[in-house]
Amino acid sequence: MFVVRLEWRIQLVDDNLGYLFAAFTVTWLVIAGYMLYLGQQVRALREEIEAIDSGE
Amino acid sequence: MRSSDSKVLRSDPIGLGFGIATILTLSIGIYMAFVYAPTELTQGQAQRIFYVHVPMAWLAYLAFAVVFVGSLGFLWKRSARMDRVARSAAELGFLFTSLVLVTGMLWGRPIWNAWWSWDARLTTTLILWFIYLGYFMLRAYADDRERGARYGAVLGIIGAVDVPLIHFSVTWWRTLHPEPVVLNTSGPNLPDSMLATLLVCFLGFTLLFVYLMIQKYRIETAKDVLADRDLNAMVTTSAIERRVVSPVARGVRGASGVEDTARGR
Repeated sequence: MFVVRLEWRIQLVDDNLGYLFAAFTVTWLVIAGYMLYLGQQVRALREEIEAIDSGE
Repeated sequence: MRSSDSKVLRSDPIGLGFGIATILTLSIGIYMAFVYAPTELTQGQAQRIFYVHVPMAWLAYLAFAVVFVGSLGFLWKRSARMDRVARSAAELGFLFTSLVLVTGMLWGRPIWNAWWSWDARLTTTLILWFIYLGYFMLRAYADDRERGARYGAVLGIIGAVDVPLIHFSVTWWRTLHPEPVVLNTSGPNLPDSMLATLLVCFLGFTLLFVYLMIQKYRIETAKDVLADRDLNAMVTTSAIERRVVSPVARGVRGASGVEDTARGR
């Protein structure tokens, strides 16, 4: 009985590691993606402002 | 374009400071989450998802509080600045509410053996996500910017009601979701090492929120500057077109009285 419980516990801990990895990976990928998106927006707007400035 | 307009997107030391503080604090937070905090006995490694899931939920609440204040400020003072604050926070709120839902599902699958359950906490959080989505749709589909901002502000104020509903849903109704372990009436209900880890993660993610908020606000300011400039250019062009009309058109338009107005008679 004890061995079965121990195996179940080890199985549970091992399996959950995948979910933990997935949760952290998704979180950081989404945040990094959003920061890249903001960076692209800044770059595009800066170029647009510079183009207007140089045209005037 | 005014010289101050072109400075909108220049590097700012405050944003940079928040960025560095965020990286440092979150690095410590991640280290504590994986190394310092003990493994929970019944949930195993999945419990560590808690160190990102709970701060994401806090940021979703915080973002909606900022949307609420910005929306009130806009409706009260008609301040474009407050509207920019509200729409910047709304985008961040949408991002963090999405992450709350995803990390919650990744925790629920091994612990509840289900990705999703229609319990009160999960359902009210999903409603918050849809409120954010509706906020962007309202703004995008409105005929003009001012009207979109007004509609968005009203939704931002009404939608704020959902935040206390989410928080108290686990105490008001019988739910699968665990009760609050930090913000409850009897004080934090966690071992010290877990509480310290959670607080560092809270701080790190809050700094990240402030950093992203600063960046997003600057972008929205630059967009407004360009949109205002386009509007001014359109008004100027149409005024010039009305002045430089052909003799034939002048005769036609003169009859309607438009030309006289443009000439300032």
